[in-house]
Amino acid sequence: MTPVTGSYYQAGKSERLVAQLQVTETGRVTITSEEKRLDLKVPSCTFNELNISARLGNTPRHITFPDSSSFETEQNDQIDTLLQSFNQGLLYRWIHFLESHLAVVLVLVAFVSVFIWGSVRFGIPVVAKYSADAMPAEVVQYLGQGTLDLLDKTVFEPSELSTQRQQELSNLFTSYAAQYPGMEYNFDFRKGGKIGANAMALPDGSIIFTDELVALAEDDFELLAIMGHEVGHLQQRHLLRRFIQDSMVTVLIVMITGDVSSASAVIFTIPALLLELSYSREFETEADDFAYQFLVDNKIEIRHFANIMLRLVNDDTEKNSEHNSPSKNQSYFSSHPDTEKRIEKFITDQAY
Amino acid sequence: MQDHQDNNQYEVYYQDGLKPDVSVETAIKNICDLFKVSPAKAENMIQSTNRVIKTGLSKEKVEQYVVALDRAGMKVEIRKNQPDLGAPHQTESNQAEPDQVEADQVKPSKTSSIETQLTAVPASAPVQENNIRQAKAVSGERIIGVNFNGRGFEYFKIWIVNIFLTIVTLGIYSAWAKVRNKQYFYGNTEIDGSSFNYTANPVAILKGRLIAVVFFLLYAVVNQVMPILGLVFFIILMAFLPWIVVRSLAFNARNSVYRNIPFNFTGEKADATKVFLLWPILIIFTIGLILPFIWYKQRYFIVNNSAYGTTSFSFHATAKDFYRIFFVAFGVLILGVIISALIFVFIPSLMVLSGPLGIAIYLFMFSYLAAALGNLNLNSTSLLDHGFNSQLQTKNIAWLYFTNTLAITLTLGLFIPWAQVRMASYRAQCIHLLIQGSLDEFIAAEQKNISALGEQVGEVFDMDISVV
Repeated sequence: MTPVTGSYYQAGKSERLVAQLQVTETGRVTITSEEKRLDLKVPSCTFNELNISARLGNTPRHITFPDSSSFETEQNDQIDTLLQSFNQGLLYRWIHFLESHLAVVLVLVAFVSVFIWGSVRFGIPVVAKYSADAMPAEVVQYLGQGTLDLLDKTVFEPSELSTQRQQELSNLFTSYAAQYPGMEYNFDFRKGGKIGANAMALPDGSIIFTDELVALAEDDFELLAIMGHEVGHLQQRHLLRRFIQDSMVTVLIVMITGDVSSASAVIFTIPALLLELSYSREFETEADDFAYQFLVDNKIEIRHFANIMLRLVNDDTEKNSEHNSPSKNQSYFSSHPDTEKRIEKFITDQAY
Repeated sequence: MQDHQDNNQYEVYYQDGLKPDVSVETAIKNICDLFKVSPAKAENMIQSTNRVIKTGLSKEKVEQYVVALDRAGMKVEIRKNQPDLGAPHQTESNQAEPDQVEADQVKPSKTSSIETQLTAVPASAPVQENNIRQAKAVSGERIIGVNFNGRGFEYFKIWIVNIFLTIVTLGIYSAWAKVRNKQYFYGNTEIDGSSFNYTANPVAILKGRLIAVVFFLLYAVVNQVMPILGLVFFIILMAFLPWIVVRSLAFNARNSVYRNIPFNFTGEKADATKVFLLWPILIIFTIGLILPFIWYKQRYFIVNNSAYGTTSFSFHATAKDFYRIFFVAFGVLILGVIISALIFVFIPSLMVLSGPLGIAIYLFMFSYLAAALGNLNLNSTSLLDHGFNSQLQTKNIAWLYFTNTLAITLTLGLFIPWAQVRMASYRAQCIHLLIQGSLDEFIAAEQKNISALGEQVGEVFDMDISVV
């Protein structure tokens, strides 16, 4: 077969010798160098004993001999022919085929795009939902432990509501929440301070209402509607699912970008953030749907939810008006869906 | 000639014509840009081979000339002006005596105009701190460029196949993908006719990666469920940091091969503990002022413990060099903040510019540090008598970062391979090797196998340890 020209390096030496690699039909490999030197011992072995680096674009091939001497050549096609005639390197030949055909590459770009879109839109949420549901309740309760302590130390202050009022609301909530078993609910009140009128659910079953929210409500049914929303978060294990989804987004991004230099890596936090916010909005919608079903099932007027939501928005805009912050069309950067959209369902479907 | 001072005894000799991959048109254009001469003069300069272009230069100056001319595409070399008394002349063919050279040159007036321009070149592209290296008066030093032959589209195809196969193998192929990505850049980097070879075994990487990922998932879950235990986990991880650093540097070095000789790293864990754990603790107590000193210590540790075969690299920058860079960056930051504060106080309508201005300052800082530290690190490294010359420029790096980031965003990530190739090409373009004699004398060290675990733990936990 035709000899391959390249550079030959003896074992453990950096000296470059112009040389030719010759392979016979029977697979005997020899190196011949034009530099005739007495001390030069060129190897002779069989083709199967060679370690030939994989084809990769037009990068030179490195062929290592059993005695650790090596041969470097840019004659990729000749090496490929040799490998083919000895039936070797099938896997890498196939990979190189994929890497060097435009049509294949276009198909792969389409596949990868669809895959990423599909996993972000459907795959990740579905996997997260099933794995969250499979998790035992005891484990879920551990999540976010210490969150309330932390909030108590940083933003919350003790509630200024009378014990009587607290007890009254707690009893009301507990009687309605009892229809959703599998969890011990515990209703609590705090002065919201910086976070103002708000409610939140913690994985151990605590649902916290702020004094400001209680004051904002004109009817206890409105608070009950909010409770439905929070119980929805708990029943659907949103915190756990969110944690799983966010982790999977990170894994997906690392998988795609591989080792990107740290400078451009900064820009990959933006799509991750946008995705996480989009998931967060989906959870809010799910909890709203849960609240809707709760109100319908218990024959409570669904408008209550819309009423308190509208008052929450007005409350916010009043506070923010002096900062002049534009709050329209920011849905990509928001953790909650647009309020108008959220309450649409609670206004139009006048079932009760 | 006898009154030549010791440091002005070098000359730039133009012998062979152009480098093989440079066309005459490109070279003429480059020379025109470089020396601001007419195309006719540039052509004249290129055509008259085998002559001394400039004489009576100091060691640093001659290096700057040769690098500039090499970049323009001319094959030039450094020669010593006046050989020692009685020593035979360099016997390369047609070498002209310095005196004849003056007469040989195109026309005195033209020459002088070229020469005055030539002196202007180094000023615009200053070489960093080469004076520390012993200016040994050895003739026949060659300046060799680094060629990067990678192409954006070619790499794009490899990159997308890597992602595809990683997806369909549920991540298993990622180890092979890593090796192929890395080998693409190694194999396309060529110095003096030989290319680099990345020899890591994908199976070893896969094993390390699996363990590291399990470890990471454990950490993530523990951190979520019991934050206190997460902290304990973090402290344990930090205690392993020196081990991770040493192992990943060794893994990388031993799998980087040039001319059949692997690189080597022999740093000790104890020293790594000092420079990567103990010194950094002091950052808190010194409001960050110790940072440049730590950069220096870390680089010193990495370079001095690295070797090519049995030959050790040595690092001869000082902490002062790092402080200079640090204070320039810091000064620009302060200046930027003051200027923008003044603008906004006096012309509040320009407040809308605060975003772009912030980005500009950030971009400058990042690019300046990348260029200045990159240059300092390489220019202060030597291997026996061989040295390096790196001339990365802040404005070019900033332009690359800016355009790459923009293009990656606009193409939703598809531009990543082109971005990486552009950066690698630019780096290669800016790096030259100063070789004394030949690269034939290196001998391989005894090889020990290093598992990929440390390297992979470092990678999964995103503790980036850059080698160059």
